[in-house]
Amino acid sequence: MTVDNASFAEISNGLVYASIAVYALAMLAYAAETARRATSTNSNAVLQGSRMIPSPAGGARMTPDQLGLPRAEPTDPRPKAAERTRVLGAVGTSLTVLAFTLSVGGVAARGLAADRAPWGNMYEFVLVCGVAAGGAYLAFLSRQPVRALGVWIVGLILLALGLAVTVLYTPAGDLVPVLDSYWLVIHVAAAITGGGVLTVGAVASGLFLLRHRLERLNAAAPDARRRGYAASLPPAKTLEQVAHTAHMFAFPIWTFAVIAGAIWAENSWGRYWGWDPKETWAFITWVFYAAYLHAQATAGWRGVRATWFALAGYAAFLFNFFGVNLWISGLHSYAGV
Amino acid sequence: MTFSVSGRGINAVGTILVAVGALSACGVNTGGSPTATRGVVDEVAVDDRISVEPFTGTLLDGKRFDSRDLAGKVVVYNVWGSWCAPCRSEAANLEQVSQETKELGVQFVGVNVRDNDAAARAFEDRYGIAYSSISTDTSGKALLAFGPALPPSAVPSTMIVDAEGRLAVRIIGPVDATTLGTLISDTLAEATDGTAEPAR
Amino acid sequence: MTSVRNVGRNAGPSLAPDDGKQDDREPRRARVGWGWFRWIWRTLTSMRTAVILLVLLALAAIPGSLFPQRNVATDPAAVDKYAAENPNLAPWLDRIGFFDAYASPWFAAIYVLLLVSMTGCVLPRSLRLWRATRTPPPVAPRNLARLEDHHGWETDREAPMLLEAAARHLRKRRFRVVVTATEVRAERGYLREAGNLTFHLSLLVLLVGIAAGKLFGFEGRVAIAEGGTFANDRSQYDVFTPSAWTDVDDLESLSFRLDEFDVDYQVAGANPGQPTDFTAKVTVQRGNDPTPSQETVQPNRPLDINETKFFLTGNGYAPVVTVRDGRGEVVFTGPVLFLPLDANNSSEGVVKAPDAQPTQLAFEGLFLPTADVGPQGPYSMFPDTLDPQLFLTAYTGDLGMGDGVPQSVFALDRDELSQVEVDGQPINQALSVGESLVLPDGQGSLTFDGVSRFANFQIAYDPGKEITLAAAILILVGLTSSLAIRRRRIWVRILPCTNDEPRPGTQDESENDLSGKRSLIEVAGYSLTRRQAPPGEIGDLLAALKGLTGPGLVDPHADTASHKETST
Repeated sequence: MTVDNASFAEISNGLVYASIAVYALAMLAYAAETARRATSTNSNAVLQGSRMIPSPAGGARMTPDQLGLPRAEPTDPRPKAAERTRVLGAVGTSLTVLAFTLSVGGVAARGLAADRAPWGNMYEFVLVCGVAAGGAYLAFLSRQPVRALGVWIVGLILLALGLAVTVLYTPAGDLVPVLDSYWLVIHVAAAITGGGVLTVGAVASGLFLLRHRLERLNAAAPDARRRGYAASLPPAKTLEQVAHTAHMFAFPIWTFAVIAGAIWAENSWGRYWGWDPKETWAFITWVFYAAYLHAQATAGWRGVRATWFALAGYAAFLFNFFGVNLWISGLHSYAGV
Repeated sequence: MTFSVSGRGINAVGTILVAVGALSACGVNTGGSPTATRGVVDEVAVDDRISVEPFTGTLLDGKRFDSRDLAGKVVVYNVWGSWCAPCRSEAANLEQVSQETKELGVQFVGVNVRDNDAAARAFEDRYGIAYSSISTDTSGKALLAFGPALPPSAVPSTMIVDAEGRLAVRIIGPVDATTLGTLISDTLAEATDGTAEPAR
Repeated sequence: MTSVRNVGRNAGPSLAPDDGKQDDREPRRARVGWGWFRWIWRTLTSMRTAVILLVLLALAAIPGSLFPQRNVATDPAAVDKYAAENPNLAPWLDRIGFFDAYASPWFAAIYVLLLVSMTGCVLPRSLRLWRATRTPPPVAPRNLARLEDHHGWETDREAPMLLEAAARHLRKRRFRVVVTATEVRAERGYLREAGNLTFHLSLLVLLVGIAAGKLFGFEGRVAIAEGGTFANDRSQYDVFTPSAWTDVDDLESLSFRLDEFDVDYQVAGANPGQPTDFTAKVTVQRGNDPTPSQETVQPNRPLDINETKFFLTGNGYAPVVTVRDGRGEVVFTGPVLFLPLDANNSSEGVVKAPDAQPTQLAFEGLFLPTADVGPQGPYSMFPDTLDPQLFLTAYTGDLGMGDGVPQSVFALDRDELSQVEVDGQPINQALSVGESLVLPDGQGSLTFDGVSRFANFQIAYDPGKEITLAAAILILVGLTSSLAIRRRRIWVRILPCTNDEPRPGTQDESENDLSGKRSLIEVAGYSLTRRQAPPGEIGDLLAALKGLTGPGLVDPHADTASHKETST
């Protein structure tokens, strides 16, 4: 390893730590925003506040956040407080963008340090998956009213990065020969990208369930003025739409990841499918999401029940990512912990 | 011409399924359990026989082997290894039948596989094997030469090639003297329609 | 978007969550006698059943990943080990197939039912799609204003010219277009349903490919020391696992010699001792080709000879030894495969000399590529051969090979063997290359001549994998298009304004009187999928038309449209 590589490795570590720090600040900002909203608004106010403004052509939907407009919260009696809440949210988003950029830099420096695609061991997988989740969230934020997801997604990324630097850290180095394949780059990149988008879908799904419950209670007893976290969320319909879009986008990517993995397995072990635990859980994840997509087209299952399948799929994904690597031994064990 | 190993007529053979038990074949088994293969005699009807491709090799005594030198003879090939326990149980039978059929122009050739020459020679020494064997280094060609007809598929296995150079019989698993003798005399008997003498 | 979707149970499994919008009609009443069958069939092919079966499939796949599996795990002895550790539980788990979960009847039942359900649903859909592609886009609804994206304005330009312009605009954007005297009907996105069907039918093809491999292919394994040869005959395999209909007498005719096997390890850096390269150099002799060829085999770079593939999947050391017996005769010479025990390649193995005389000889030993002796005894410090040593003990007696029962080359049957002793202690000696272990009383000796390596090859032949790959690609293409393509319709209608008809948005009477024949031009879009039509599509059409008509007066329905948007 040359001096250059070593210094890249150090730069990478520095950037990763910096991104953790900034993500922590972003989460604080988001959390403060969420807390203020939850205590200062009722469901009606937020319903209007998160209404989308139609674009001139009537196609694209944009949010006040995205357009940089002040949030219209006409029923909030304290405009100053509302303004402060809004600023907190904007600060959270800005910090998230910064932290995301830092983590991208960290991953890139890691790649330069090792002279290869920077996803060759568990530490790097988790790092890149954090980047993918952050990127997916920001991409959604530019087109959909998903800022309410921010605090959760940033929280998850922080958890993942924290785990990466404390438990999973591996010095930058060469791959074991069996991982030295361009199918590694393709397969893992697809799996991680899919995972990032699935994370957005899972958070949206979870919040949808919360919000849906509130709306059902509200419909049953319209006079009760319910406050609290669920009341501060965007309408269930919006959350469901966000989740659906995320899953529709992620599902083909995940499918591709599984297929690419099978091709690599064929190229490496002589069989494209062998029910290795990793393969099995990728399959389980896929089937749960397939059940979700089908349930979304089934009368009586659309909405809440379908959403549970999506969450089951995400649980399977997480188990595959952490559980299988840590607890179950299989051919993928060499990925290293 | 008739030939009988143990007083039984040659027509008694027909299709024999030699019960050699489940553990008939050897294998280098990392798992510890032996490979189970059916112990079977495959007799090929004259019209269905396929020629064994000509092949060459080096014998354990250092001499060169060329299957074409044996044209016109009935040849018995035995695939074996010194590491293979069932090969030990059949070694004496093979040597016995080889002596009994020598005068009839039958030639025995060993095909030593997955072995080393020193161990193979020590094996021949212990069991008093007089016919020579193709050494491990060059035996791959011999194995593949049988491919178009019937490949050996196991250790030990024994193949009888008729006077026309076609595979007549394949025996998978260890063989007993009676069965082998009968099968050889069957193959020889076919040749009496033409000439019993080697065509050389 | 607020339209109510009516997805009946006959909508069938589909990845298009919006298919309820299609004109699926209720199936006709069951005829007497067929009632039960039709009921079962309809239940089986319903979407609800498909979802339940999918969830069951996911759940049924779980046990196989948690319990050791036969024919699956990397460790072939895993099931036996588990059974030994859980003697009470294991027989029950075995009875319900948990050790061979993916070949178990319950797993098969679920996926077979799922496939039947899917096929029963997809085939009728193919028919409907076929009819739909031959049907022109439908007549515009009477009240276009009720659609999601509606725009209308008045113009005095001639209707045929405008309609033709709209048709041209839409055709250029690959809409299927029908023009009548008063309206343009356009539809796009037929490929969506085609993609959906492709996806589902390809799953069936995928299964055909898997079945072909499972029925005609084989897997095998062989370990070859440097200098060793392999001929592709079943007898040469260490392990050979044929499928039900594999023709084991018709293997590809080939042989190869392992000329050299190179392994490199990281010496310094972050992970010292981690292997960086495995390269096997082989000379391959193909069946009918008289000239041999030089090839290299590396991880992820298998040797592929006519679909029979050799994958480099493992390696280890093969110490080269010479054994002399009590007569002084050489009874063994060559490499002996030792099985690696740990990451630093401590390896164990046995040397058998069953033809040594007067007594048979056997040696059991530990090979350490970089030997050191610690408090726990000898161990290897590094996986490469920096200081190779062979720690040996010796046996005499009967190896137990004479009775014809096959035995492993990696283990001794000690029943009839006795350990060679010196001064009452079992003989135990460490050898460096060139040194010999000489047994007492002239019983024989073993010389450590050198170190060779062996490579472990995984051999696979799967005649179905091209079918499987093609199916997988079709699955991906079908899936992506069924999720990405949005099927939608656009109508443009031009009707003359009559006096009875209210002219929305036209407040200025005098302006209206300027022309005798004014028309109301309406444009509306409708998405047949859950997702909205691509934004801007209607906008572009409006811009094109307004370029011809002028901006028009007031857009009478703009508000309606935006209200609908917000509720989405």
